[in-house]
Amino acid sequence: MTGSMPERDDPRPPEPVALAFARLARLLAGARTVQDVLDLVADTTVRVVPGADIVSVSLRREDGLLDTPATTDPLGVHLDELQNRFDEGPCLDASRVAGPGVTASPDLAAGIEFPRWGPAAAEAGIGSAVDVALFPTQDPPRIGSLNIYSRRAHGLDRGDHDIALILAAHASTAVAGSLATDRAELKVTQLREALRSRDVIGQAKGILMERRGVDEAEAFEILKDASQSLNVKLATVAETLAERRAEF
Amino acid sequence: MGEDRRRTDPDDRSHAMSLRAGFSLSELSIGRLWVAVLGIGGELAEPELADILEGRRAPTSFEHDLIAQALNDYFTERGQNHPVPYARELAQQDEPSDG
Repeated sequence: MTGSMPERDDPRPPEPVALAFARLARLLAGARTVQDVLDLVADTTVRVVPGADIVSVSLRREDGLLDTPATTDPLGVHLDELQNRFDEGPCLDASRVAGPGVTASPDLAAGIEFPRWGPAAAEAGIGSAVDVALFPTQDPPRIGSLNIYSRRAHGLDRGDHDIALILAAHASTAVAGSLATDRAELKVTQLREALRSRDVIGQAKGILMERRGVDEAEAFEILKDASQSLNVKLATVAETLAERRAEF
Repeated sequence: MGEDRRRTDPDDRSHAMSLRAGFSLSELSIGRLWVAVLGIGGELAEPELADILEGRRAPTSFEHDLIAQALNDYFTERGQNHPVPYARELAQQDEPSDG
C-alpha cells in the first residue's frame, strides 16, 4: 500500500482538529446572526488551538477603534480597551497595517512589538499573542481580527499560527455572509415599512381628493404644509387623517 | 392653482442645490433616501434620484417637494423643523422684489 490517503475500507478516525473544523463548518452554516458566528469561531478556536487560553474577535468601528463582540474571557475585552487607549496593539495592526495580516508577539512583557500595550497586557496576565486579520488578503482597513492569547510567554507555536489562519478564513467568510444577510434583511424591513407608509399616505391623499375636490398633487401639498406647520413627519399627518376621517 | 407643478423650470437646477445641501447634511445614503421617497409616494427610480442629487438633471417641482419632504422627515426625527425648502418657497425667493 502506497500513499498517505486512507482507503475507503480503512476509515481511520479524523484528527481532532479536522473534527472541530467539520463541526464548525456545520454550525456556521446554521448560524442566524453575526453574533452567533463570532461566538462559534471564538469558542472553537479556544478548543482547537493547543496554546490558546483566551480567544476574542475584534471588529473595527467607523472611528477606527475596536469593539469586542465575542470573547471566551472578559479579559479579551480589557485587552482591546488597552489597545484603544494606547492606539497600539496586535488587533489594531492586524486590521489597519498592510501586509499578511498576521501579528505575532511571543513575549509581550518584553515590549518589543508593542512598547506600551505589551507590558500592560503582560501585567493583565497575558504572555503572548497571535492575531489574524479577518480577510487578511484585503487591503486595510480590514473589518477586524481573530485574537489568540496565551498566559505564557512563547505559549503559541507555529502550528497554532497555522490553525489560526485557517480559522480566521472560516470566520471571514461567515462574518461577511452574515453581514450581507443582516443588511439584506434590514433593507427588506425598511422597504416593508416604506410600502406601509406609502399606503397610508395614499389613503390620506384619497380622502383629501374626495372631500376637497383637489388632484393628487394638491392633496400632497396639503399634507406637506400640515407636516411643516405641525413639525411632524408626513406619514404622521397621513395616519391621523386616515384614522379620523369621519371628523373631516 | 394655475401653476403646472410638474413642469421642469430651468431655475429648478439651482433649486436642486438645496436638495443636495440637505442630503449632504443628512447621514443618509442614496439608497436610504430612495426608500424614504418611495415611502411618501414617490415613483423615482434610485438612479433618477442620484441624477437629481448629483446635478445631472433638474427635478420637476413635484419631485423636488417629494425629495425635500423625505429629507425633512429625516430631520424632523432629529428635532429640526423642515430645514430643506420646498419648490414654492424657492420660487418666492427667486421673484424680483418691487423697488
